[in-house]
Amino acid sequence: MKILVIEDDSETADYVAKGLQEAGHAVNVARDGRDGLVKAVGERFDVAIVDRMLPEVDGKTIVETVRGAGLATPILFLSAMGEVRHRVEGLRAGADDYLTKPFAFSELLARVEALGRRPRDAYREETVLRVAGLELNRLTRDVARDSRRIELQPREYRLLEYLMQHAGRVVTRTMLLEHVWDYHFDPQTNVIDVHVSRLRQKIDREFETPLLHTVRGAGYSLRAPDPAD
Amino acid sequence: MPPIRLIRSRVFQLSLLTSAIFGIAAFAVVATLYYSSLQAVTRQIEATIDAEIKGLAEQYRQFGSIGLIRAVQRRARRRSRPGALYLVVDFEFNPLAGNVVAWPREEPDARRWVTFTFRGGGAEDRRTGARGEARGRMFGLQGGLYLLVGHDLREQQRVTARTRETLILAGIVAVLFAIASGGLLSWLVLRRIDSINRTSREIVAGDLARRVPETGRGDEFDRLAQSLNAMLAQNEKLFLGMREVAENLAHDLRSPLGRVRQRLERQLSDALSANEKQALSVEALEETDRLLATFNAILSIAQADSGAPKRSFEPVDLRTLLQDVADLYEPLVEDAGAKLALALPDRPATVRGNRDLLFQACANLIDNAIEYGLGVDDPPPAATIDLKLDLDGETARLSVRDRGAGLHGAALERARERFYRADASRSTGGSGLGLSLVDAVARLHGGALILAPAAPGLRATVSLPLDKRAAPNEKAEETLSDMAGAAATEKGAPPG
Repeated sequence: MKILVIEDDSETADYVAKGLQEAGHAVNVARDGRDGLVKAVGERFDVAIVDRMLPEVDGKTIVETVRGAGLATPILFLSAMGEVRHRVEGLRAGADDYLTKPFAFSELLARVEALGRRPRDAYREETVLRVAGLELNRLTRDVARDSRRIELQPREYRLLEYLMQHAGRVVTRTMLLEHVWDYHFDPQTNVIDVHVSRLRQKIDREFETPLLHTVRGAGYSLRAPDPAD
Repeated sequence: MPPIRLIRSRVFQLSLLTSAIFGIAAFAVVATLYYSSLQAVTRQIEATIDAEIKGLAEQYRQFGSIGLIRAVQRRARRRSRPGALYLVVDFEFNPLAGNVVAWPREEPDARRWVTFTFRGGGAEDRRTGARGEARGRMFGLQGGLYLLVGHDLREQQRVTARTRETLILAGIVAVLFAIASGGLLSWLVLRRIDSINRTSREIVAGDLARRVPETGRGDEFDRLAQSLNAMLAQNEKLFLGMREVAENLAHDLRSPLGRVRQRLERQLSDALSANEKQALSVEALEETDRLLATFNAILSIAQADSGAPKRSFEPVDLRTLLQDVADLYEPLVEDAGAKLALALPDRPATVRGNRDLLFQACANLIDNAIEYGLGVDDPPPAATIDLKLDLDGETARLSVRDRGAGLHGAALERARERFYRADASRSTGGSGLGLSLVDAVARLHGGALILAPAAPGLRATVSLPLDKRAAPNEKAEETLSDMAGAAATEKGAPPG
């Protein structure tokens, strides 16, 4: 993916750019708001990462300008202030996602990849999601693996749906909380893990190859077994 | 009190100013009285003189020059009219009768009134030959005689002089009195202000426990002292709270940071395999995640305390919120060997607030109930955590009740403090910030967190004011659905 990073703090910018490059992405860094805005409007990117506090032009203005220009480039908003108000403001301005500094790089990467490969409309129209032998029908809400029907509770269904939408990629616990339960908060306990392990019981236990994997220090990933294995 | 300070004192200046204004007004009144009474006396004298002249003119008309001279002689001897002066002279101004020695040299005015110096007057004055000032009227009579009738002004002048002296003396006394009272007032006021100044200097110097002394008279200075002291007490409490938070923070962060450091250090060792090194990295990462979670909790509390999230408040339905909380936490509670019992009212419970923060508050309460409310070793098989929402008038009460050991005494009082843990060793998990955040969120929403023993267990209740604006909407919705049920009427529904 081609990613634009608008970040004035050079240490953070370098760290983010390096990490994204290692993950196989092409990164373009803008060090101030004006440069960032010129690049964001002038070139095509798969994802833009925009810091909230920037010299020259602030992050919120960049997001508003990009949206005002009719561009749908997915934008991840970064902010040193985890204040709820700023999160709300950022999302209202037109950002697609929001991350508070300091962040784990795995969280940033997971969110950027989720944003970048989000063919939003295509997903909405797709009625059947498939990963290996696992099948989820969004019209009938039926789930089956290798043609064997799996009974899921509503919240387990929503969890699996989100994981399948992001199949092959890492999904963090915070992303699950925000998108499956629609709340942004900091759980003090492994509350998400319990849900995932229950889901895993149902979709993986009676089958030879596991599909739902735990990624240490990052989150979960639902993926088809690697053909090389 | 040094004189310079006294003069610079505003109270002193004000009291002098007041005295000056009062003095000028009093002087104006007295001076007016003085001059009008002076004029009244003068008019009185002139009226008397005119009456005398009329009487003498009558004598002259009836009895001629001799009658006049006799009348003058008679009147001049009278003791009943002290200060009355008479003189009759011939055409060469030789005195013929009267008690004035010589015809005055002063010229009379157009109405023949004259103020003149005379010798003579009463028997006493004639003997001493004293001179005096008098006011009188002159007439030339037919037959070459001249008549002077006057009145000795010395008595009146003595009274006037004495009045003037008294006035001057009174003025001097008044000025002295003004200075003295100004000084006294300034001293009384400055004494109180100085004590406030002294206290604030001592507080600035670091003695936070100092308070402004009160006299107990209940005057405005006492009221000022009371409100200052209340402010100082509040500041001291906040400051000590902040200091404790800072100290606790330093204490709580040292150990995890130490562990992170150890792991990073051990990774540098060549003796470890790649797998062992990776395990150490993951452990260090998890430790830093916990540290970040602590910081996030502190920031969240600070933000809730600042009131800033109020700007993004929106209507939140607590029933939906609690349903979601139960949905998320039920498996965790079940895995801990307990049951989550959700009880909701049958009517909507809307508050104005931030749903994420309210969710966080519920989550923290349930986390606490799982951590402390189930018994550490063996959770009883029937252990239940109650998650309940009650509506009481204009208040929603959201409560989480566990059946653990509960909190008692000082622990119950202090549970809301940041970093407070009932277990003093700080060995149990948790940051000690969970209830502080719930408390801050409750206060942000205009409510409160109440902790009470529930025998057995602990009941944590968050009371929140219901959104009054939501009520009419509910009614409108009801009206709409009623109407839909009744297949509509002609009357329109009120706009919802």
